[in-house]
Amino acid sequence: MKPHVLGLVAASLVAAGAAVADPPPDARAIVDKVVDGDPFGMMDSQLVGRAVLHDSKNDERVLEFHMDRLRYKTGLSKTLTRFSKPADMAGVGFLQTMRDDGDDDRYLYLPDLKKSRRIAGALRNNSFVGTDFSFADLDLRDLRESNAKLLGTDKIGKFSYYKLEVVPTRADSQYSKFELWVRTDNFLVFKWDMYDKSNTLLKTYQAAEMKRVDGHWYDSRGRIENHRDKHSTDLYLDEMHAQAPADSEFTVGNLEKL
Amino acid sequence: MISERFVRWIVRHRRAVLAAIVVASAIAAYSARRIEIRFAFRDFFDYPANPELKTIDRYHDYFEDPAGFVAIVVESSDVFDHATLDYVATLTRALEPSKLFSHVRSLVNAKATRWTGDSVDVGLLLATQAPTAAEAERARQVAHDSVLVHRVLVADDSRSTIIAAQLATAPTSCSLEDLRVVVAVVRAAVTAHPPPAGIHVRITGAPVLEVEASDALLFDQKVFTPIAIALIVLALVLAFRCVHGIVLPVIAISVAALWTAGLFPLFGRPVDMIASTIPATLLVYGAVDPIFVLRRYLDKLRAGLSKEDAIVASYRELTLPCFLASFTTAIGFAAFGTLDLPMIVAFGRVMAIGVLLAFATTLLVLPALLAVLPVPSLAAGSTRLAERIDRFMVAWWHWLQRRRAAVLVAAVALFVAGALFATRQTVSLFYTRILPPGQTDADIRFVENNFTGVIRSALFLEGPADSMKDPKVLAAIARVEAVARGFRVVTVAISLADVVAEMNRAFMEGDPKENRVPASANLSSQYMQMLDPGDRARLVTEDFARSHVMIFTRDYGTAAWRPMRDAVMAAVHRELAPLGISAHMTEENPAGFDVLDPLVGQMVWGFALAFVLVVVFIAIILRSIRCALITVIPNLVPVVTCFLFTAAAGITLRVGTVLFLSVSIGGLFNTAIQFLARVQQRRAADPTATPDAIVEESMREVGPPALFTAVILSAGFVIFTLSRFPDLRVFGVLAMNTLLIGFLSDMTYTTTLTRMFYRWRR
Repeated sequence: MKPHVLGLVAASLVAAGAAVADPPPDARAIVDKVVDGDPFGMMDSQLVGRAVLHDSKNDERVLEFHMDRLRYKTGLSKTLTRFSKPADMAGVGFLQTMRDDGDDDRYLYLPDLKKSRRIAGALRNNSFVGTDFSFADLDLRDLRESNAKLLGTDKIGKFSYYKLEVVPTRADSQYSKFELWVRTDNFLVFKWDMYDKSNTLLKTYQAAEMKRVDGHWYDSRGRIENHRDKHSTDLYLDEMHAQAPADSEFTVGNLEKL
Repeated sequence: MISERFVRWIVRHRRAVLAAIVVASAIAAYSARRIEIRFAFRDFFDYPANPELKTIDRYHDYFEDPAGFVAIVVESSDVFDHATLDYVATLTRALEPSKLFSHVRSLVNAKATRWTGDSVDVGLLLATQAPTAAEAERARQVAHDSVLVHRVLVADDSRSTIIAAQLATAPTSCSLEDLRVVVAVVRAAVTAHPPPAGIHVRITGAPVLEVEASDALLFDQKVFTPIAIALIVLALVLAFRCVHGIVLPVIAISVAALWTAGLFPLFGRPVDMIASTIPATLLVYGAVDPIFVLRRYLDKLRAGLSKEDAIVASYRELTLPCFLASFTTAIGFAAFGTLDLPMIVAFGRVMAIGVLLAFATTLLVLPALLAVLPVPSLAAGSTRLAERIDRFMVAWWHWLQRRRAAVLVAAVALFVAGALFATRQTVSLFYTRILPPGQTDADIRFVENNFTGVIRSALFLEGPADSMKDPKVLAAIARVEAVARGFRVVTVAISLADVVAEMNRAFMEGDPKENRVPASANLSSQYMQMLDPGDRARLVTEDFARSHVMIFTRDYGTAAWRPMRDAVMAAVHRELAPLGISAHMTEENPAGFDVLDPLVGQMVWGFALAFVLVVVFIAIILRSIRCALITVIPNLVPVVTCFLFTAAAGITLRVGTVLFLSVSIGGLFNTAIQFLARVQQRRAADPTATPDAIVEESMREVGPPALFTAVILSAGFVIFTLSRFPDLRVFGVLAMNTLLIGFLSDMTYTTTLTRMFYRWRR
């Protein structure tokens, strides 16, 4: 009888263990967590980075920028981006404040005009300063206002990823759906397939390197590729400070200060 | 004589010869299965010897090939209404997933710069497909102000819009079958999504044109070849009134045509617009020698010779003039071999070979068949028509004898008029207007009148890295572009400078005065960074070293296009060269125009060269410089007359229209050669005969078959007036005129000049 008793005890322990293990989070919760922390891990950080643009002939152009990002409310952030290179882009600034009660605020500062211009909402689907990211990719509204479905968990290399299908619900979204691979341990986006309204794969973002700095995870290197235009942008974060900037920094007045 | 021995050998081994001909014909028919019929615009510029090709290839390395899109034109009372926008969105989305297309551009995904107060938007023209009336009105204004949208995607009156489906594979790499698939996919999308009431759809664009033009070529072949054969049969019925006279020449020329078709695939080219004339031309040219031989054969039978002796005697007298006529015709076609354009070169070579094969079949097939078949009725050929022609020849010669001086003065007057009218001749090539009229042509004209049109030239600009951000360069580009816009032939011109100016206006709160390139280099650069990468890549390379001005023009011919090109290039020299920017006018149309315009001149010179060679060859074969020179004026008369006709009718000189020169050269000299050879034979046979009698008798012997030949050749070319291709119709009329006038000229001038200048005394 002893072996049977031991077997029953072991089985009970396994069952009990299984009962107390975390159930997989639901898709909405994963997406909210991605948005709250920023898909690339940029929330509450001060960053210095580069965007290297490649056209179909592999001619390249490098933009260097400084970006401050602050979470001012759950899932909402303020971002101030200022370009330092190339010389003709030096001083160009962009301020974005996400809103949950209306359209986001966006201001662009062009030093030669000596004043900032409000950028209209229809711009969302346009390129962000010539990169393959659109403003919509950065304002995350298509993730924020969406229906999400967890397709499963994939193991790629050493890490596990949630595979999600996210369907934006906004009428003005340029996308019909996203497929996201989100790392289960840090909720950073490893791969992000973006489909246009015709369900054709339009763009793919893929992280090439994730780094942990002061306990904060970042997509420190990645590439976004526009399959239709044969254009791509490599994104590098060269300096990462996991330190939330002051809220007072995110004003139009400050944007216009050089 | 060699020909006599050869013909006797053929007659002796007639069954073996006929068997060999059947085997050769079967092989040729098998080979001919590989012939492809295709019309392709690239045939006019895409060949290694074209010096423009490197530039156009380099240009296409950086900027997309605009020829490769199917345009769906959607028409309605207002394309900004909900129903039309919904339909445009539906079609756009139906086509976007297809791997055949790299982009599908339309109103629903177009981007444009606009402003509202101090707010700027460079995003989608239509943020939603269901705009309010005010939003639709604003979108209309923005579309009309945007160089990338106005007349590119939306017509002036907002009653039509284009959905442009850009091919994923460059059109130059597409087979005709690929293009058929592309067009079928678009048609299927329209069928699956039929336009609602009040909306009308047209499908056009270069792929559609190529497919439909290829089908028109195929249709032409199905029409031309049977009609050519029917005309030949009709002429043979009139000439001979016997089965021999109809069946034997038809078999001989059909064998020649089949052998030529068997060789055609070896040239590695499809049957294009020019090559489509080969079968009918060859059939009618091939009929010439058999007509002369049969006529002479019947004469010999009537003179009491046996069948074999009649065959041999006919060939003894006719082999040399037939060879000479065929050889000179072949020279006329072979002259095309000196040109660069492969479609013309291949046409010339195939026709030259075909004409020589026709001579070969006259020498092989005809005597073998004559030897196998029973002797025809001797009444054949001596019809009432032949008697009337004979009486006409006699009367004509007697009339001419009294008016030699007047006849020569008329020729001189004709040449003087030709020289005067020559100054009014214009070389002007068309691009789309060479295509068959009909719905396709109407669609192109619609696109030309309401949108950019389909003729694009590109001013390809190259400079150091970042040079295209320089405001001085951008301002210079704008000035050069303004020069282009000053020409009526230009529908739309688009450049990077326009887009920068539009952005500047938007960032300056819509001030119309600010629709200009700003003085600040940084600001220009920053504006460009605001553009979508896809849109920016259409205008400038990522390193800002290369850009272009897209100049769309109406198809008014190269005579209207050239002054614009010259003025733009002069402006480039003045405005951009000092800034270190080099510029080439390129794209498919300039690359074609710049080689096709000179090609027309080369074809005229090629004709002149062939003409001289034929005259020299006649001098050698007939052993008489005098005889050779006698042929010059009679054969120039029809050519000058035709040029007078083209100048008077306002027909410009272009590849399709000057083709008649070389095509008719053999037909022109044919009668003169036969006539002079007959005069020499008569003179040798009876040295005591008077010159008047020799000329008259030669005229009566050569005249009737020459007339039948001229009628057959002319009728053969008349069938091209049934073609759906305008240039082929003009070609048919000109070739027909040349050959008919050539016959009259021979009967008038060759006879008169022979009587006056032939060396009668020895």
